[in-house]
Amino acid sequence: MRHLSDAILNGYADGDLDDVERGRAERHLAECAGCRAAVSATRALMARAGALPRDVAPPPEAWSAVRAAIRARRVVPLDPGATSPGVAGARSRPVWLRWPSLAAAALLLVALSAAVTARLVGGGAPSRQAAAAADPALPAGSTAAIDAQYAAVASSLARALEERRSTLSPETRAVVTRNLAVIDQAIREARDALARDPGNRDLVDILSASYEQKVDLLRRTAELLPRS
Amino acid sequence: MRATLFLGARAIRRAALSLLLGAPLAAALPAQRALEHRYAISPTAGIRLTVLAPRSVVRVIGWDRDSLVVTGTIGGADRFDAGVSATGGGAKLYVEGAATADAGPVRLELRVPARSRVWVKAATAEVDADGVVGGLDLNIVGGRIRVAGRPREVSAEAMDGDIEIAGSATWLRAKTAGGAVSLRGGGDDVALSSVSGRIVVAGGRFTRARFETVTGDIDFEGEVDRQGVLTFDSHSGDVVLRVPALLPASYDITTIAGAIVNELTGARAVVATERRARELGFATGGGGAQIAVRTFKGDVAIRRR
Repeated sequence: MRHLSDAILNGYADGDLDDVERGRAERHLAECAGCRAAVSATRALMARAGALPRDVAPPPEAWSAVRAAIRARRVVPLDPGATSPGVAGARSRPVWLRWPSLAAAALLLVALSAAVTARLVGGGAPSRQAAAAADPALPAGSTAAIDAQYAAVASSLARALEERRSTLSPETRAVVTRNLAVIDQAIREARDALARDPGNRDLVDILSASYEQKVDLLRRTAELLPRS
Repeated sequence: MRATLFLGARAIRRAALSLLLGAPLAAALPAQRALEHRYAISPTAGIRLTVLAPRSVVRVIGWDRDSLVVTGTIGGADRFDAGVSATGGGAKLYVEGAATADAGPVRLELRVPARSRVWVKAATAEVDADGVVGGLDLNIVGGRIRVAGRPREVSAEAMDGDIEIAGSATWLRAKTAGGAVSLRGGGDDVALSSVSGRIVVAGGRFTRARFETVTGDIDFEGEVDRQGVLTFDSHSGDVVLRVPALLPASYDITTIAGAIVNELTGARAVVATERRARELGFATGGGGAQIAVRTFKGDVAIRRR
């Protein structure tokens, strides 16, 4: 199975693909856990970048491209066709100027490493049993690697949320806390089972699925934060 | 149209009058304000509504006219802004609720061209969409989302709200953390997800679909295309599939600690030899569609429809 190219992965994560390309990507993603993980990681990182307060200067060596994008974004003229400030006009900014694309580009290394790790593990397709039977021995350390990658993304997002949790309503905080606890319990159970049965591809997929849920919930919560 | 400008002038006049009469300013503002705005718009326009109010009720209705009509009521001190691009290709609507304790819910009805693409973002809200055949992107924190009709694309996300889809969509994504997802209708490309809520699918035909929960149960009843690919994943939720006995499909079921019940054939689950898991694989109707179910400790039942 050919994996999605980085351009398609990033375009999909940005929502920039046309209908045909997106349809193709969706069909592939339905079957490919590795590419799903790459998209999740990219989106999570975009959300993390988007949740950063703009008055905190990121490290120049890592964020120069993002900073340039912010500057560029500030001088992009409003759509002249709009009759009111803030109206979404028919013309959109060039793809390369969009904040998520640049944030994703700046953080591509981490996303790619997550994708590569996920692809090491693979799985997720309907013929899981056959795959497991054909390749019962997972690459040494890959389980720990995927665990570490997801955990790193999830904990980074969680930290960003924790710093600004007061901006969320108490009801939303309660919902997020409750559901994160549910997911964390599932992650603990899958990890414990994996410790007893290392190399179980189904358990790796189950653990990955829970991490995907966690990253997605954190990402969606991050999108609720004001971007002051 | 800048509704706030008119509100501002009225409010100033009322405030001045209230001060003259010695009445409190709050009493001078109407509790609710009616809205009615009409805009010429392209039939495939993108329409974006943002509601920054604690509670709102939003109804989106697709119609066969090239116009956008916004009606409803908002609080007397709430802010409403709207604008349409010169080409009519985009419209942005914005409601910001005043933080008054006695403010009622924002109630809006949007009549939109049926082929338009509509975005709605709100906090706690009841969002209903009906008759839109273009795209819907609905995002709320709490409350519920209901979609009816045959939109081409639907993305519905809630943090704690329920999502109900009655109808089919070519492309459908519904995601909630604590709420339930129900779908009456099928789709070519469907993904439903909930952390702790239940997913219920009642009828419809599916080509590619993915259903995921962490603790919520999944209950599926529907048809699957011969080339279809369906996956069901849950950590501890139970998964029940109700399908035709002779559905052309092959089944691939795995659970680590759950039970597997198969009422379609005599095939029984076996314990995998190379790892801890129970597995069941079988085919009906000569095979065709691929249906995969995986749980950690949720039970799985395949029943006759």
